[in-house]
Amino acid sequence: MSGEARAPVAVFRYRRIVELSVIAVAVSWHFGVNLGQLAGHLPAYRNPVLPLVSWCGLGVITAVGGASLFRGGRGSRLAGPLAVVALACSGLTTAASLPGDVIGPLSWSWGTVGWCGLVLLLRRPSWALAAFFAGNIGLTAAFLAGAGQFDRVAAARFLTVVCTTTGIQLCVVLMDRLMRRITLRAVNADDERVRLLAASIAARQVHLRRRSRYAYLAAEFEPLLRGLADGGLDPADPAVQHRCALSAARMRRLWAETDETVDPLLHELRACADIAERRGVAVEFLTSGPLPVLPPESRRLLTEAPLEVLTAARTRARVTVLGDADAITLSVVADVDPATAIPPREHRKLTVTAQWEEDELWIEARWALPSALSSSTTTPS
Amino acid sequence: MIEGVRAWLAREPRVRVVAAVDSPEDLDRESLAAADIALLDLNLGGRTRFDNIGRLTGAGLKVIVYSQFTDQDTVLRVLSSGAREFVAKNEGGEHLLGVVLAVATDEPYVTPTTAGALVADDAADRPRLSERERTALLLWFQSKSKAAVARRMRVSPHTVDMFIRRARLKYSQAGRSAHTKSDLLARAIEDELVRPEDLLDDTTGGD
Repeated sequence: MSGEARAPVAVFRYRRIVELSVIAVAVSWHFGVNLGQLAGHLPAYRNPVLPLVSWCGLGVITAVGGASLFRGGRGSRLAGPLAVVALACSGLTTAASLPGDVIGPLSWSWGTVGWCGLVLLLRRPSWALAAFFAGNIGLTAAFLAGAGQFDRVAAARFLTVVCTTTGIQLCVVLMDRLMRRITLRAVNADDERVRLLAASIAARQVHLRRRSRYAYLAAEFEPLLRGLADGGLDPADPAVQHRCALSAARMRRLWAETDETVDPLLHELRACADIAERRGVAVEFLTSGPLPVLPPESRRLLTEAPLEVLTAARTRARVTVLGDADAITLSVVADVDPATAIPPREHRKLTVTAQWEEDELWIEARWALPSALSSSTTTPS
Repeated sequence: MIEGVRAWLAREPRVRVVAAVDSPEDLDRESLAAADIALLDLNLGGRTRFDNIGRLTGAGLKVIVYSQFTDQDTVLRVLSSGAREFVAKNEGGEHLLGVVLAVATDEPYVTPTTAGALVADDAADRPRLSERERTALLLWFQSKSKAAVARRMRVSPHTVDMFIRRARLKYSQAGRSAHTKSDLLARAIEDELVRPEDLLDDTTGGD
């Protein structure tokens, strides 16, 4: 999964904890602490109906906001208007308190309405929450000023309550926003780590492959080139010419190995057949059946003996490749020099059969597939 | 291309070319009545047309498909569409003439290309070939010399031919080409390629 796809999942998972905590605090605070304060002081209000209405209103808003937050998403479309109603409800309680009790148990709501705001606006931009908190503080300050109680002691008490209520709520918001940023950064860092790891593994594999190809090339071509350079090998000697042609075909096969094709075996064989065709050999190339992709080393082993016959062909060659459930069978029939020798191939999955027909050599290389060991497609005769 | 085919067929006095047309629709009534065999190129006007096989066999002709598309799917589809045999264009005049004569006398003829397609067939409804029939098909695909196949299998060329023709017969029997089934079978029994009792047991084969 890419970083873009994983990030929201991870962020959702961490922020979910904050969301559930906010819902739990808001609900338990309103239906526990607030209800207790309301019930205990109901007779003390100037008009007991107003705080009752306020409590009920805030309860409904907390429930609606909590449910919306619980379901996820960006929250109810009514969050903004409901936040304004919540502030109005809170103001109602404060208005119903005695002027001396703006900061006291009777005006319980202005300290706790912040939780209501959190369940409504946690998923909204931070400025919405800031406006809500500012509105609440401003409203309460206005009540205090209106009641003519804004002396030094009241201001200090007011600030203390703001710090202990709105401060905690702001901490929750801060935690939520930080959690989101940290999670995103962690996911991106992890993606980068995985990307670097994959790149380093790929680079290492490419390097190893190159080294193995270089080793093969060195063992194959260096003695030939050295012999030609120091005069130890005579370019006029047909045996040397055959060696050169074979090396050219092998080099061509090696180049073809790195090409991206659907059928690498056929691709490499065609590259080798090209070399023979350039020498004027009429190559007939036939394939049938499905050809599973073998690893490059296996393909090199399988094509080696047919390649030698193809390289030795004088005028004509018939190349057939057949895939079935048991094996990949590669065959070359060509008119070759009678001196052409077929070196033995040793691999438990490879069987090479050679047969002379006058001046034609017929070679068959058969690579057994894993399925051949467990099943047979023919009936015994 | 048509002239080359004509020249190949002209070498055999038993063969007479009645008509050469660009499309099956162009065949007139007299040609249809006079002809026994239709040699059909699958690729007409740049498109591969399998439906022409059914159109021609429906008109009572024995169809031989002659195509440059030699992949297994094409060959098997040609045989299951009711064509008698398949010849690849690169297989030359000898095979073409051989197929025409064999089809005219309702005998099975397997070109090396067809052998390759049959031996690689892994469809669920493929007929069950004996090990030696399968080997003969495989080697015939590889070397297209029955003498070489015979030496490899240590049997006579006649026996190789029998294995290959029996394999082809089993394909006809397996219901892939209902048009050819009865004629081929009757002829195969006449030629003692199979015995009637062989037909009772589908799995019997080999030597």
